[in-house]
Amino acid sequence: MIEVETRAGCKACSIAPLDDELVQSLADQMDLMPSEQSSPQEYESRLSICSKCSSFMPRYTCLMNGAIVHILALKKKSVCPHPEKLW
Amino acid sequence: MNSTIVITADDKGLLINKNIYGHFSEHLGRCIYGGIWTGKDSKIPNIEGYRQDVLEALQRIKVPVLRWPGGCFADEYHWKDGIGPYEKRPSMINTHWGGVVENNHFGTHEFMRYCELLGAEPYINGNVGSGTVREMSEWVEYMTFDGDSPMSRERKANGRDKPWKVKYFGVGNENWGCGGNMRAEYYADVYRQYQTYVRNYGENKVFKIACGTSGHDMEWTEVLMKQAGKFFNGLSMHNYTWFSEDGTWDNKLQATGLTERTWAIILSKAIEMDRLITAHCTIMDMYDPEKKVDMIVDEWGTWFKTEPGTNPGFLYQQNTICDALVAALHFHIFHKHADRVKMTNIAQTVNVLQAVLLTEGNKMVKTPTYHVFEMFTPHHDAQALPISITTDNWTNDKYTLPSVDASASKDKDGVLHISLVNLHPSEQQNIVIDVRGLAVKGFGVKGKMLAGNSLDQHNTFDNPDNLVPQNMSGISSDGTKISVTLPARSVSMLEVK
Repeated sequence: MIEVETRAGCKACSIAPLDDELVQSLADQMDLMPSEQSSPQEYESRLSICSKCSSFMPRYTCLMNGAIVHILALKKKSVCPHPEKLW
Repeated sequence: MNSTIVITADDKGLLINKNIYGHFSEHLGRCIYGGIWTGKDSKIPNIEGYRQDVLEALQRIKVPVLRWPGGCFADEYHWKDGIGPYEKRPSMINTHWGGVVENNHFGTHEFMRYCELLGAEPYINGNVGSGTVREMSEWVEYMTFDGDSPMSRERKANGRDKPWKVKYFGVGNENWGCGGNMRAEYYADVYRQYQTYVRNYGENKVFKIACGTSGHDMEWTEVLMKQAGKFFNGLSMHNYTWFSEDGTWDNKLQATGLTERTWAIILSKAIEMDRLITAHCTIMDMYDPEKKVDMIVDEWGTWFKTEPGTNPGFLYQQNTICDALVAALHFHIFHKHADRVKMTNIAQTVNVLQAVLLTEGNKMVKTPTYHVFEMFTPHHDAQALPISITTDNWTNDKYTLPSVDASASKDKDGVLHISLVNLHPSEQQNIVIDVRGLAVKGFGVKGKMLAGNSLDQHNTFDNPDNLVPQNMSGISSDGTKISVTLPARSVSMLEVK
């Protein structure tokens, strides 16, 4: 069946919702050198803390700065934006 | 390079409605949640749940009117979800913007209280796209009815005894797009139907605003004026400043990293607003020569690619000296059309698109756009003065721009204010301003200036005062003429008295 248009003309309608594939694509676009990336342990630790944070909006977004937490956690020099610096 | 400006200070000009300096705050990204509203239990300092630093910064620039709750969000917003005890307010997915959960904690009462704290007029945008006539009618009744009715009883039960004053009410948003994909003819009839039930209660008189064009659609304006023009007080228009090399929406420029060429392009796009307003006003004049219907530019500003690593649906972008010039040029255009343009609303107040404020955790920065809003507050409700500018043009690629742009106004105390923009990316401008008819002999002049040391100078959370206004030096005056040098990439404001 042909997919028909449901919305047209509006700028908001052109924004694709986040999913795992898009998040990976956006992370790839950051083009981080290995030295700029946190270690796998650090990455998992950060994500674990984020997932329990009241400012985490499942499944991807930090409401303290709008970042995709997977990318925030991946960047070595990132700082948790929460006022209490959770990691 | 040299420019000459002549200002006729004794001419009674058009009133610059202060609402031209209005704002727009949508449930989008972190504009409301995290920007305006933190909730009372937040670790971030707040007043009644409103973020304190943001509130105080907005009070400082005298926000005259605030549009809410959208935008695209308005046409999916059901206001009854946002009243009553928080624990009973349903959560929903904000499908337009980022697919995040909207818990409805910021609703009608919270918005109206925020307007009270700001000293701003509320501008509520109703839901036509997915709402009913009854829903819209009851919202107006809930907010403004001073008698006894189911809606006023519910308002009182929710803690607000007296009705609010709601002057500005929008009947739908972008109904040609996210607000229902309507054709102009259909929307004109739907508008007529919905507005019938947007009633005036007691002394509250609603200024009704119809959804207008996306900027370049002249037919929409013509159909609306022709078919429904007698039923609205204002007709909106949206137009954003953006550019991509391949013309696609996805490949827009980033806010930072501009070259002299893209600087020229962005400023050229900003100046297009003048042509658009002129074109739409020509159509409006055909049907409304007495100018009873106001033009309301309730969404404008830069739209750049979102900052790397952020949720694309949050529309979070940096804000540079280029944005400051875009803002100043827009204000000059709005002043010029002050006979028809009575309100505009920058998109958006905090953390979204051309924001005046950015927040991250408990940090906040004032953007260069914020500083232009602050520098231009003397223009609020002042009289625009006739102005003539003689300046060289400069060209980059196929884009030709004037070197200098300016606007002048006189406030109620007779003080003259002249705002100046040097659009050139690399050359300063020597300006002579001939002030004619000012009833002060041997006047004095002082000024503030915001000048970028690069094409994308901006403020960050680590360096929030990297770009702030400075007192101007080197202004000279012989009592009738002012000489001033404007650095490249700058916005200035002179006070003459």
